[in-house]
Amino acid sequence: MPSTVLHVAFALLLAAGLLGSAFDRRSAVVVATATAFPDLDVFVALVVESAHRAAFHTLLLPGGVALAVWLDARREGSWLRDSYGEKGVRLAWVALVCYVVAGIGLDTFTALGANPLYPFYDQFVEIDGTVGYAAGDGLYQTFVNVTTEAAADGAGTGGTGGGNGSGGASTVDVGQQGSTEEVHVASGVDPQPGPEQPGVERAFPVVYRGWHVTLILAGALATWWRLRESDGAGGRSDDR
Amino acid sequence: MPPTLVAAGLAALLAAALLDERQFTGRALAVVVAAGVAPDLDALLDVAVEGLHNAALHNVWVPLLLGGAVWLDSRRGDSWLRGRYGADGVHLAWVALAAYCVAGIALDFFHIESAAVLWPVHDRFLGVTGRLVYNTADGVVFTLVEPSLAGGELLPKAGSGTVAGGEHVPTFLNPDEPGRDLVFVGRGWQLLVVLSGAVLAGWRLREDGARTDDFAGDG
Repeated sequence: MPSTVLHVAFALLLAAGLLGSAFDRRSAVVVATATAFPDLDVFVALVVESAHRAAFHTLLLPGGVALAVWLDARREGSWLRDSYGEKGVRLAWVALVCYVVAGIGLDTFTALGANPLYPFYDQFVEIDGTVGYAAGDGLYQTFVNVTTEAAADGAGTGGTGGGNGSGGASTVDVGQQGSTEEVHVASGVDPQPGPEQPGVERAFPVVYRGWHVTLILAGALATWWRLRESDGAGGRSDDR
Repeated sequence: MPPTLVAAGLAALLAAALLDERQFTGRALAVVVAAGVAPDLDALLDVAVEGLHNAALHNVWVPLLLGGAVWLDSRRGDSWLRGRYGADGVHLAWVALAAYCVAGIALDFFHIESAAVLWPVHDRFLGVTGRLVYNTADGVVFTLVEPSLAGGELLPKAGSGTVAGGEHVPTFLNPDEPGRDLVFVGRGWQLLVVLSGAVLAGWRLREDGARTDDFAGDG
């Protein structure tokens, strides 16, 4: 389970690449806030059962904001451009990309997944698999598994019939985990579905895997490097 | 080890993040990605001398030596690197070194399959994995680095075998078991890193190219 720290680190790495020399302290704060925001749905989960990784991890939310930014930016008297200039419009797009890729994406591509079309289509999706080449077998991939058998009993993801697109004869498994009725992603705020026992263990992760360290390192390096250049604008890049 | 393609993706992300618009060219991107995947070339040496994979080029000495050389050279008045490639060339060298360390070495070091990062001075494969969690039952749990100060191995949990002791990280070219398997992407998160690296680098090449065309006058 990627922690919020990891989400933000990955977002800062992306933002440094997207903004280039326009990356400064203010954009770092905006991007970090936008990326940390989806994880606030842990609090929604206190009210709406199992809403973590669903309520704010839906693509509809950044999709709606993107539509608003787009409509505003093409107007003559754009509020965003009038208030923050062309830089502000660009930063809004970058923050949205980081929301989707680092905020929602990182959860979708790791264990338990996220619920990208909630609440219209309530289904957690975990995209995981391997692509490789095995001597003898040739190329193989396990990200999308198509079963051309009517027997849906082996799927083990009851009630996910919406996942198949072609005539009901074949099932397509891209990592459907089930709806919010079946899947509860635990968090420190809401560790169990339903009311918690007193003294229940609440875990707040920072790093859970070795690769989390690598990504956090990369994000920290990119942020430090970019801020050093933007703070000392005009300074030589090779002075150390 | 995480597949080489993932190191390439992470190197591309780092290139985009650390290079300015003016510096981010196809050639610079190629240099940084090459530096990011360069450590995995010890898989070739491993065919000749078994055990060198994740050891011969996955150690801190290679980037330290190269970094020292770049630093010494860039301090000189008639720096070879600056004379030949300009100040951007020096900057590019540092970015390539960062990609070598983070995408090339750290990705394998912070992974169960481990890298012999101090080889040959200290011969031990180290794979740092673990957790940093706060939970209400145990407080702060930190299991990434658990040094043993009582003597013996410093990092008993992270350490596995030694190069001399016959420890070998299998590769496609030199598998431990029959049946060669070349993995391009091993997990979901690796696919995300590869995709974001490719898309971001491609987008930057296009954007920066367009921007350069606008100022084509100043060459």
